[in-house]
Amino acid sequence: MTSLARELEQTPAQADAIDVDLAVNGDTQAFERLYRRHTPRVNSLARWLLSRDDVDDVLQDVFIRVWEKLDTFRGQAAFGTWLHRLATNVILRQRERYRKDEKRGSGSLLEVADMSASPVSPGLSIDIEAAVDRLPERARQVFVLHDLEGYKHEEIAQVLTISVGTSRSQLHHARMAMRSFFAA
Amino acid sequence: MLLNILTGALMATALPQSTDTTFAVDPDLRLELRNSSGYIVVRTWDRNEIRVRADNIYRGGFVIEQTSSAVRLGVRSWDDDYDDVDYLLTVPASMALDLRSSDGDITVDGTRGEVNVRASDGDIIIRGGSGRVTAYTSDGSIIAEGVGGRIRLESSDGDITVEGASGDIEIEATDGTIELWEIEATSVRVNNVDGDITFDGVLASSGSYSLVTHDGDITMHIPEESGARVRLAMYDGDFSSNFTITFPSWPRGRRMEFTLGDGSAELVAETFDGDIMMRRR
Amino acid sequence: MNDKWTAQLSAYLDGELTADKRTDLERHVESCDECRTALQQLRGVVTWAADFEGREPANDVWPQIAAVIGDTPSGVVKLDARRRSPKHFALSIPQSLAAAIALAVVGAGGWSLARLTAPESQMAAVIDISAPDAGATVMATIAVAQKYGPAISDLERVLLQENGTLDSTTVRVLRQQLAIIDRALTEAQEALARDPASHFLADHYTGMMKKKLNVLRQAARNVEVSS
Repeated sequence: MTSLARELEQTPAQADAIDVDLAVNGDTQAFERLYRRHTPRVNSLARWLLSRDDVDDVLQDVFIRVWEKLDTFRGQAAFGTWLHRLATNVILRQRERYRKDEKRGSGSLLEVADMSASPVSPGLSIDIEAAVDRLPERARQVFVLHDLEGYKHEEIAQVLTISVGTSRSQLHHARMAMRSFFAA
Repeated sequence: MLLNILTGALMATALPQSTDTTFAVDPDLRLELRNSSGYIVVRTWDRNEIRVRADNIYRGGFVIEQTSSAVRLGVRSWDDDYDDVDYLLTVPASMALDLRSSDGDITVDGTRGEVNVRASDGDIIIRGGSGRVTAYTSDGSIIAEGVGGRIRLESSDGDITVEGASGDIEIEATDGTIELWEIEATSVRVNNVDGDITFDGVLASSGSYSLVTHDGDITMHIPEESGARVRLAMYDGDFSSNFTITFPSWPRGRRMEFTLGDGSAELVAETFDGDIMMRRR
Repeated sequence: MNDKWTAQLSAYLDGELTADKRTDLERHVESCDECRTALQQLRGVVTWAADFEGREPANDVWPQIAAVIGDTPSGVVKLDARRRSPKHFALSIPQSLAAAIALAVVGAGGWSLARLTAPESQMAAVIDISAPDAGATVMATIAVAQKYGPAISDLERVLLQENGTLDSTTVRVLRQQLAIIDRALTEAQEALARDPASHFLADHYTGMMKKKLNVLRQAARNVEVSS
């Protein structure tokens, strides 16, 4: 069986585990495979948390940190979960640097609700992504951290320096604004 | 004063919990809105009407009050729960605005009137505005674009950006970056503690400009032909310029003074820990 | 659909409602078409988010990463974007010179020390008052500490007391502000101790004290407005 065939039979998590082992020992091609598998989601995470489209520097920073810290990954969680936590930390630290550009990403819940003229199936993901783009900054950050990244409200409150109640409230508003994209 | 307000025409209307309503208004009145939590977005149009779209009105009911001096919008809560409303308002462009939110962003877009905005926890964006424009947020950033008149912006924790402003500008901040771009103001006073300050603009004849921070760089983009008496001070930092400056004498202590052009304006920049940079605009 | 119920739908989906509230909500949802629809739509949002695979970045940054981690050298890579314009003209403040002068004066004898004290330890640095102009700047600084210190202490005590009138977010932000200003004051004090003749440092210290008082006054005004 070729390595490609073996890879095709692996789940993404298994492929990650193999590539992490290789990358820890200096295999940059294995690390590139990790990069290819996880970049899209880290890219979306960075765009939404930083309210900007140009996140090249942040992506570089995230994956270089991952490379540097790879030997500290002990496999106690899925590699994806570990990487996303690390990526979120890097991105949140970059927030202050980019705050002046936040106006680009500021929208309103009412605008988001307006964007879906009629309920559609989730197949039109690009529209839904645009709706996330248009969420007000704080609602978007809470939504991304909670629903995409699995953070708890207590953790969100800590990293965004808001109250737990505000985190719950913002999540609810974001979901309510987004819901009209989804058929009942 | 209270009597005058109470004797004004009072109109109280209970509306559905999610509302979209338009009503006629005297554009000379001031629009007042108080919100505990939620977003406020204000846009303008050339009609003497206000359109209110509000969402998440819980239990209490939405209320419009019109007095002799103001139109007041708000939620009459039955209790403190769920007082959490998102507003999208369209108002006459010249109408004065007085908006307050305890927790939520406030955006004002395209107004020509006076603006007074306060958010305890949230970002503020103001595009347009004249006369007296004030914005305060305890925890959030402020962006003001195309604002004229007497501008006072204050944030305890967050960046402040001003673009294309004229008039008098006063900025108070503690922790955040302050940037002023394309400024044509006769008076600018920026006071910060922890964060850089950037000023880009022209110095008016007899204008007064003061940029002070404790920990941060100060960068000034000004025309080379500017006329100003310049006083700079820094405790731990360097001064640099990309155009020629003639010092009357070797700088003494941590302060340096020189004159640009006819010296008609006054420019002060001080930082305890940071560089001061002067750039040709 | 009643907003009282709607507000609980997210918490219900996340398993955050108490058993009683969960039962009440489920009973309501059975009889309310709109809430049932909203709940299904919210489930759609949550499922979409959990399954979202992300979008490819506009630019592939792998070549830059590879260059840094030693895979393929590929030209200039800029990681840290703190960019500064080159300095065409630079004039350094001669701090070492100032320090040398201060030492020379101290070494010549005939000097004295002043320990400045003020409420809340606003000033506690040992300052050499024998340097040229030192007397004036130190006296001015003592006057500032005495002028603003009591008001600052009173406001801090009232505003930051436990169970006070300020909400927790405001107290947190206020504490952060005061910590930043206090750090600035400490740095200014330490600098004044090293360079007591500096009018700039004395003025800077004064400015920070005023700032602290203004921050506290603003917080007090906010209490008045909201109460």
